Amino acid sequence: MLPRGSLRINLLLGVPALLLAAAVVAVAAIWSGDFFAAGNLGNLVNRVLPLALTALGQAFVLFAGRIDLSVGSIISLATAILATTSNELGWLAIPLVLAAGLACGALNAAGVIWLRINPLIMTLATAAVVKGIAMLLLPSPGGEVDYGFYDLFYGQDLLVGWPLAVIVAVFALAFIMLGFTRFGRRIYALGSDERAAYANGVDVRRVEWSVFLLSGLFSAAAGIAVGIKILSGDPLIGDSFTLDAIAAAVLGGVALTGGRGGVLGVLAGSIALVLIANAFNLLELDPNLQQIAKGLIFVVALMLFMRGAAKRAA
Amino acid sequence: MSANAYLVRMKPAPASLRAVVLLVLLLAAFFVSARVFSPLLLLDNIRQAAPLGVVVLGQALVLMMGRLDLSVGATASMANIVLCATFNGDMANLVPALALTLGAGALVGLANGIMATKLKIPAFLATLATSMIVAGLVVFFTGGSPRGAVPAQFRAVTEAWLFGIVPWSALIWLVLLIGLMLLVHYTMLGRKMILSGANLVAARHSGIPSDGLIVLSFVLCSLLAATGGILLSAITGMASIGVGNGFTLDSIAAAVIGGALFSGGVFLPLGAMAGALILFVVQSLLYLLALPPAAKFIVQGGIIVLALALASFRKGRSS
Repeated sequence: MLPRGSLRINLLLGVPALLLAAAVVAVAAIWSGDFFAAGNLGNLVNRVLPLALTALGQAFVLFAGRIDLSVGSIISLATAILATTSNELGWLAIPLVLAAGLACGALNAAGVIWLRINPLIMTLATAAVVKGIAMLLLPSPGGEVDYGFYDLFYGQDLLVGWPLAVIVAVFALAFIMLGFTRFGRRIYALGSDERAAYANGVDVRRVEWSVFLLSGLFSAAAGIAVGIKILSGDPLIGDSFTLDAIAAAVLGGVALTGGRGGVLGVLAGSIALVLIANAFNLLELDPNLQQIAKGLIFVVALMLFMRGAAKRAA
Repeated sequence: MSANAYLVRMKPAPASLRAVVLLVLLLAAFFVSARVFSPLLLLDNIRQAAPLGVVVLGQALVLMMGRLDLSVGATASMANIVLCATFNGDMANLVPALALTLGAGALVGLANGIMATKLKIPAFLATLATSMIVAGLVVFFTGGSPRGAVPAQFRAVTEAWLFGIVPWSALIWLVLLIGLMLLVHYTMLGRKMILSGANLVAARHSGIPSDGLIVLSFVLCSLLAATGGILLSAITGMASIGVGNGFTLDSIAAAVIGGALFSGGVFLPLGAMAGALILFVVQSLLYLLALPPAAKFIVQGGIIVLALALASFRKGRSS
């Protein structure tokens, strides 16, 4: 058995998603000459960023065998806070949004750990509450995000820029944290077998707290990226991220049952999903078909994964 | 079965009674803040809560099987679009309109059930994917601007009152509720469903075709969701995209308030009814107090947490 979180298993789990991404790139490049245009590549990185951050947060929770359905609402809340405060607070708006994300994660953790509510339903309830708060702050899409943020962060749609740097830095950090630290081992241990983890001295509650907090934090960071990109807030913009983040993780080989998966696979899954959306745009297909296709891809990915999981268990 | 056994099964579970007590308290608060008391107002609330109430019955059924259906909102919204398009404002299209709408609903349920059993996809993810696909299909086929309308005669389903005292929609709700209660608690099929929900492994070892029963519960749930969409269309009278989307969270909240357990094995029709009415009265109350619509989400989430926290607290103490 390969050590969980090692580079090799990380790469192996990411292979299917990378193959899918390569296939999409090939199709898109053949059918549309615009694919390799510098503008499109930069645009792709900008769109991978929020999804990859959300999926990474979700992955921490999934590795521990839990799930977080509130990530979409946290993204919406983040854009709402950013759009209502960035003009007055300036840079201080960023830590404020991150703190709000942590608070949402704490709400999830408190419900799951103290009130012993099923994570699925607790995070669904949190999603409703957080969405309500976002709508109280900003009843309809609008507000304004300081253009200075956009100028600095997205500046030009280049392949190599701040968004790429953030992706690389965050994923490298997460990779090291999961593969080479005690904390990472504990997350995988909890996800593989909760009782065994407990018996071997893993503080289950502490690990649960940290994964939900991390998920809230990463979702808020993703929300910041989205808010800066659209230069405004939208209390509903995050909704689609919930399923997308889980889909990206599953495509990247993360087991919904916990204990299996790697962050590089998650990144590959996020890239694949964004590429699919981009191919739909480049081929000028109906955007509503895109939603249907995303749902179908998700089902197929889950189906393949569940079949594989059943085979290994047998 | 002896008459006594029938009576014992008729006895509502404590969880249902708790929900009913909560409902009575809320109604008292509602009438106090509205400064009027009239049974008619109560009946009118029941009339308007019927679409949600019917959807909740389906959700409670799936929860009994230990699963969760996150596609009921999208299914109800789809029912509204399909019903209006096939009716096209003409009562002559009644039969094809109802058949197509319910048929489409049943198809969604069948897809959910097959994914959750044969493909072994966790039910909440399978239904989340279905809801996305269904919503996408609706927008794709209507191009964003749905056509058609519900004929005025059909709107009598929710707008007219039998003998001027009982709203028809309340009757439909009650009939479906009693029908499901009889199915689950008084037939062999229902008993097998409860066992499959309470303990899947034991049910399989007893030779019960659990997979088929789970598919059945999803089909029934989607049929009820489509029925809820039909009732909602009768109230609004027109086609609009995403009109039933709120049902997903509402139905889970209502079922949980009514004593449904996520671990499965429990079906409390009276509790589900009280839960739906509680949610509806809370919404009316929020409206009376002139709170912004966003407050609804916060209250909804709070109610779910509260109901489940109380349930797990009791479980923890008794075990």
